[in-house]
Amino acid sequence: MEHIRFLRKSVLGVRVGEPRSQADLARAAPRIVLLSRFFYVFVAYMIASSSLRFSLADGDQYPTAPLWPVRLVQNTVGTGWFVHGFTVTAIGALLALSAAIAPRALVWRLGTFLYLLLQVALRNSYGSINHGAHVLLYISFALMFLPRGRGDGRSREDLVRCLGAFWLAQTLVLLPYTLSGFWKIRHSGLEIFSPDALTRILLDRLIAELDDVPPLLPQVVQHTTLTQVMWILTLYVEVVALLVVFRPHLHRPFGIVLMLFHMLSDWTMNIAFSNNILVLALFLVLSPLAPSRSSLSHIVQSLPVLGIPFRALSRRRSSRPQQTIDKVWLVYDGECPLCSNYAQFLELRQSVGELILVDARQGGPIVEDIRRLPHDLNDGMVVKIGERFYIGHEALNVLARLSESRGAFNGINRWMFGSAAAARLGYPWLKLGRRIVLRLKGVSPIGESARQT
Amino acid sequence: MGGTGSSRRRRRLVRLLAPAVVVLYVIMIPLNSVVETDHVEIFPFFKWRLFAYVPDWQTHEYALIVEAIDGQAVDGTYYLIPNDSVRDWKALRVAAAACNTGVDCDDTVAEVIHPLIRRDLGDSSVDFRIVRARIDLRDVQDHVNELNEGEIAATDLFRPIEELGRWNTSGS
Repeated sequence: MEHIRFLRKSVLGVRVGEPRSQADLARAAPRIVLLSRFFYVFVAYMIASSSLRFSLADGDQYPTAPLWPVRLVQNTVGTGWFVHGFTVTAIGALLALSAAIAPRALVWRLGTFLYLLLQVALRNSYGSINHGAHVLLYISFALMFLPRGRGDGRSREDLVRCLGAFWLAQTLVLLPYTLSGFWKIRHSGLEIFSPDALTRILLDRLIAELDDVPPLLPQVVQHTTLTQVMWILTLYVEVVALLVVFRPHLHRPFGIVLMLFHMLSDWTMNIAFSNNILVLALFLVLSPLAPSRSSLSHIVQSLPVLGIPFRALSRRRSSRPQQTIDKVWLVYDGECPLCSNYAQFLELRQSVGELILVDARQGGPIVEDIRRLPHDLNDGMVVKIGERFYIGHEALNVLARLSESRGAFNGINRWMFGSAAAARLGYPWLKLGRRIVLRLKGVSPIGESARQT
Repeated sequence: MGGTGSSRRRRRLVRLLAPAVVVLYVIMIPLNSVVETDHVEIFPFFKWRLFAYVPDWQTHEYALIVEAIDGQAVDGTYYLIPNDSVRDWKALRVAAAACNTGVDCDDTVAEVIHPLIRRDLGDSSVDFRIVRARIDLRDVQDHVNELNEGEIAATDLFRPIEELGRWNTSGS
């Protein structure tokens, strides 16, 4: 369960807008596998269309500065393998196509990764490095961790591995942007505050481009205010890019912004990262972890640093729980006296709706729904409101906020656990109490009793 | 979260390997900077130090100017490098660095520059020089539309300020 908790805390850690439910995550798994299929189709196309063809540069020129994968193969089988470029290319295309057709088979994904490792190494073995295809190599590495099973999220292992591979892919896509932003700040020093910093970078780049003037450059470099705004946005977007992995509301907007960033880089500097554009579209704009509904307010609140005041404002506004709820389902352990008493004494406000108590050991449709989630009922009670599941300390917190303030129990409950932080701190102690009581009673955990029945 | 022994091992591997890659990448960044000599990287780890320096308005660039071909002086100033090849630009920087330090200047020029000249100008006897040119980016900004319309070439804005040496592809 450690990695599930880790994923929940990292990927779902943002508490902006509507919290993501575990059911949302379960639905994401097959979409992650589908996206990986698209990725491998793209790689196969790129190999077949010669962009990623395995061939020596300038006709038959042997590598002048072979990188380690090329050297490794050279030392193992000699240089004769270079003449079989067409065969190697065909194998690479078939591997990628097979990975697209059967992403569950590790052998195709591993083969595609090895092909890309060799191909990208070979094209950069002539003394200069072009990083245009590195992102495909990184993604192919991350996707090797996809599950070998159905990958439909029906089992916890499938789900965890799908999410883990996807999370790693997003990290490897976004980390270079953050590094790029970091080095800009590190090396530029106070120059980053210069209003004409980007103007000078663009003009200096133009010298390298000689007479091939990028289409937007003449207009852009004449407007210092425009380049200043572009420079500040570039620094911000690059530096915070990695944090976007942990903020699902930003997946789509940042994906689009970074795609535009590459297009603008092409139109102002003749630097085209076309592979990055496609990868951003697949792994950020089409991110299965992005909420299906997201407002401008959610996006602004999720922004690193800039969103802090908006989040504080929103928290203050939404301190009141939802007012109109039809039914609230509380799934608890009926063998645990602490849990049973808590459930029996709990009274929700009349405006909230009906509270339905479900003993997890008795089963039922709701319990079956929860069993399909990556959550062990022994790890915490579950509250279902509408289509949303609240688990553990979240459940404790939401029930406290929805409970009556009259009566000693409900008053204390509301006072103690109405704060999310207090619920987070207090819940592990309640869980420990339940374990001790169950052990004293000699009752087995929920999962085991279910298996026994 | 039970499972067979092999599935547990796989999960453990994933749990260790995935974060290890990210950590390794981050570790490789300073390591790259230690071993780095002009953009050499430990493939496929890369620092992504892209456009990290904000240039001054006055910048400098090396250039290879062809003076004569088979003894015939060239009209105007013929810049063979820079051209549209990054590799040529890098080769020129290697030669310029050798000449600036005074170590193996002639040998380096013969080794990395002569093949480029032969590639473009054949086996002719070519007199050439390598210069360090000053470029005022304000000039570039003022003439960007003329550059865009092809009325001037970027090298027209080069102001040679230092000559690193003169050579001939025949060996002198």
